[in-house]
Amino acid sequence: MSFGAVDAKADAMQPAAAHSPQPAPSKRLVWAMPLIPALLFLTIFFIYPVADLLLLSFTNKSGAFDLEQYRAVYSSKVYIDVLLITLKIALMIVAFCLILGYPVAYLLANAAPKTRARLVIWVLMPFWTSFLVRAFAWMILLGNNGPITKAVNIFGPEPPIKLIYNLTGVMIGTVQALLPLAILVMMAAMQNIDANLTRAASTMGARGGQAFWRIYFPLSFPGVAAAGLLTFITAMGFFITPALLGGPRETMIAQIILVQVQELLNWRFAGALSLLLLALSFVVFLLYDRATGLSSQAQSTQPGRVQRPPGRLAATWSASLLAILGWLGSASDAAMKALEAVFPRRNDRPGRRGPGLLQIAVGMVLVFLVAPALIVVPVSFTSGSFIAFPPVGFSLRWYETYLGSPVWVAATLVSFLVALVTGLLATILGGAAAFVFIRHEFFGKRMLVALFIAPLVIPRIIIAVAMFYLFAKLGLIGSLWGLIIGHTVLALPFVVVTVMSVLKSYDERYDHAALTLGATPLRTLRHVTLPLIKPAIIAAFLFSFVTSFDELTVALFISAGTVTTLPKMMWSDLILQMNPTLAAVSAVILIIATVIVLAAEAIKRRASYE
Amino acid sequence: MADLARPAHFQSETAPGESRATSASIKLDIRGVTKRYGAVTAIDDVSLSVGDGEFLTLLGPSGSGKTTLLTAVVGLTAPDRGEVWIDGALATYAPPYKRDIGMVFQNYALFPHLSVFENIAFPLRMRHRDAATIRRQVSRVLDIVELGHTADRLPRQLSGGQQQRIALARCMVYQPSIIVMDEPLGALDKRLRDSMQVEIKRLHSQFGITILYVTHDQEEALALSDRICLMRDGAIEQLGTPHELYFRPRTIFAANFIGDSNIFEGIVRSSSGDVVAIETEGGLTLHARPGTQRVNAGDHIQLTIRPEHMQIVPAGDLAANQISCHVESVLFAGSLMKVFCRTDRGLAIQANLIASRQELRSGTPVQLGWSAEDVVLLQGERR
Repeated sequence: MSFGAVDAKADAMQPAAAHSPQPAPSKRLVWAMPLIPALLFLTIFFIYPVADLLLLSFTNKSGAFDLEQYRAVYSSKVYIDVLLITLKIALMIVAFCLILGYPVAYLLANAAPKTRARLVIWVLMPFWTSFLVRAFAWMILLGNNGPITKAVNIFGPEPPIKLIYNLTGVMIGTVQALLPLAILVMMAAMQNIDANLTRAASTMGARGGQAFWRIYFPLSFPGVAAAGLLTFITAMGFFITPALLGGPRETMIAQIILVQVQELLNWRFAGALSLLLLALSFVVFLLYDRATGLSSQAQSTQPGRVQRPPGRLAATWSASLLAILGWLGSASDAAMKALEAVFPRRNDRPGRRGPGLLQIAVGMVLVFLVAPALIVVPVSFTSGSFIAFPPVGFSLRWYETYLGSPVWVAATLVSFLVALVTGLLATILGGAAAFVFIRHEFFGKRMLVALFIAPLVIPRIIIAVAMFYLFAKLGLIGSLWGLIIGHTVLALPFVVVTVMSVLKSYDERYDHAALTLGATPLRTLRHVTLPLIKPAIIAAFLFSFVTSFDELTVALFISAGTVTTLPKMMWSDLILQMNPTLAAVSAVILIIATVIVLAAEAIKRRASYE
Repeated sequence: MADLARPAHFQSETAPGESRATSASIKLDIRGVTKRYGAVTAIDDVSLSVGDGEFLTLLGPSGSGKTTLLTAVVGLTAPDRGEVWIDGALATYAPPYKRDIGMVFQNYALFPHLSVFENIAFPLRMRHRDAATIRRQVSRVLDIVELGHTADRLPRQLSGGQQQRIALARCMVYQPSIIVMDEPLGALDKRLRDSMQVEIKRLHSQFGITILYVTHDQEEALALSDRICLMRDGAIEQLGTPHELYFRPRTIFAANFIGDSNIFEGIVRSSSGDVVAIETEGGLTLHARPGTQRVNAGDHIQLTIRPEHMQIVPAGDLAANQISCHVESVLFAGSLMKVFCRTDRGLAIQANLIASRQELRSGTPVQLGWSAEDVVLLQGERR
């Protein structure tokens, strides 16, 4: 090859370099434009009201700085007690969720991809179906005449064991409600543990127990910590399940906030309690972070998200901790050896295959997660006048009652409309923001991403009260737009996380190819990028739709008169009296949510298999 | 055996290349192992034995079954049929922790939460050695791989090559009967890979370790192995020393997988003495020495000639095989030139020539010649 040819080639490269898609210096900030609407939206409808509410708590009636609200909290033993009870219940919930969730997450994370895809649905379903419907199902099962209560009392202990309106009821209900979250977070972390590590341990002579306790468990610990943290923060702000399944002694702080606002319109005091709730959550978060260094992991609640390798904590397993782990390993192995003495293994014959203890335990947890909610379906077909399980006879009378009632039908339509618009709005705002987050590096990006995730982490009751306060001033209470705006704030995190995770794995060279082939950036977006990530966009829309469709907390404050959502109607009826119409409504909510979540998952999965 | 020194082991009695191990010194014996995944047969009735101190490589393209065979040896998959014997004991269905085997994983599988010391101590702790023994043996193997100063570091604070050596040390410390390595150099760049090959070879010959090695890199296999087991579609294609596989490939697959090859098909025309004449497609007449192989006139036959055995010869040279052709293109690879030629009747031939200052331009007519010994007669395709 002669030098002339090389020169010609170099010449040919020149114009291409001049056309490369570098933004011209004059419009340097154009790339950030798609982020602006979502950012403004969150600033006006999320940051401002929450900050406003919290600041309000530091003022007195004349608007001057005053700590009277906090003095009121401090001087009354009731509120301190409620805070302590909240803390206690939240910690208990965390403990149960981690213990029950760990084996499930372990099994799912280590299953073959196909099996995992099939099984994870059983965790995702309850993750997405409403707390309200599930609490309702527990009220049927655990009620004084409910089948579980009857079964527990079959031998007639004195006094009879009560499973509802006490701590037991709250535990059963809340653990079932929050378990999916714990499982999904732990599973995401465990999927990142290299399966070769336990294999390597076993080639070096470690039996199952040693391999698990010395290798697997320490590596899974950051995931456990993240799951514990998220469960704790959610549990701290919980009120639906405790209100329906607990007694007066299980009153949690969120319930007090609800009462302060709804019945007493005591904004300042509600603000003060909100701040205490936030502060308590934050302190726990800091303690966790100090211990585990997992602040980056706490952001991810999306199933299947890739997480970082084990953090600081994993690096500092001291000799004494290792000794404890080794002891746990020996203990487990001794138990297994005892079992092996009964059922010896042989080297010339394959071992028996069948479900082990782990599989059976996980199966039971999954049944606990999924089955209770399903009973609302048969109950809704009862021909009797009362809720009963097993149901009496078969009729459609309660569906007739539901569909014949203009109030219920109106609520259903409102829910659909609000969910639809919320889905569109959240997908557009969040999708555009996700693009900027993935495609550009800029100062403060991490903080902005955290802001978009925040509505998921901050107790929902605080967001709801803050919005109520703002919307009351704006006249948005009882309006469709009020509900839509509120639900969009809550749905944005799901959209941002879903679209970001897909964009992260999107090969930008497709775009580069389109650009070099002569497409403008806009046409590249329309004809290449968007079609390729369409499944993620649709999934994000569907998740937003479901988030809005069975949302209760915000709806509780912002619904009014004819503009009332289905869950809000259900709640109002439920705290007055149980009737089979509620079962019919629950069944409809459950089925709609199930269909939408299954569709979203199927779309997402098909996309990732391409 | 608490001490690392194993004198009998250190001096491998069998010289590399002639290690058809006797039954007394067989470390690993695979007998008729078959493994299916659904409708796919990953390995089909494979038998293979590895002698004490031998370095045996499973070589083959992806999907040839080499990794399945390896996991069956280690005990991470159970075979459907056949037996695995390790150090004279039946281990077909024994769990990995009961087999006396060490494994170096492709990504090393160093425990990220444990220090280098604790990583290497792990197999000793599993064997309930006392603290003093553990300290002594760990520091001994750390010295062997020359990484004594890294004992307190975490794996991720080491370079790729250092991690690789720690993974080796972790296997050596408990002196398993056999060390299995699954593409251990796959994650390293070319230069590091070369120096690690030297390191592995040194440890193998210095300490007489028995190694079962898996790779798809033919150069690596040739450089390291005492014997190579070439695998294809779940079965053994050819088993032999690197020399045998390179100079006496038995099939087209073996000839193509290892090194470059010119492959021709033809019919045996005559055999005079120990030289046979073969007429190939494209109208060439080639001469070969079949040696012990029996060929008769009229046989349909395939043969291969290594490109590096070809030379440019002057007109009228006496080489047994000569053809005239013209240069189509030249790939300059530094120490040698790969010259792609074509005969007048369109037959393509590759010759690898020692690079010379003289440039070969495309279109140049050349005369290529090679001796009859360099023509290797192949067996027909296996069915």
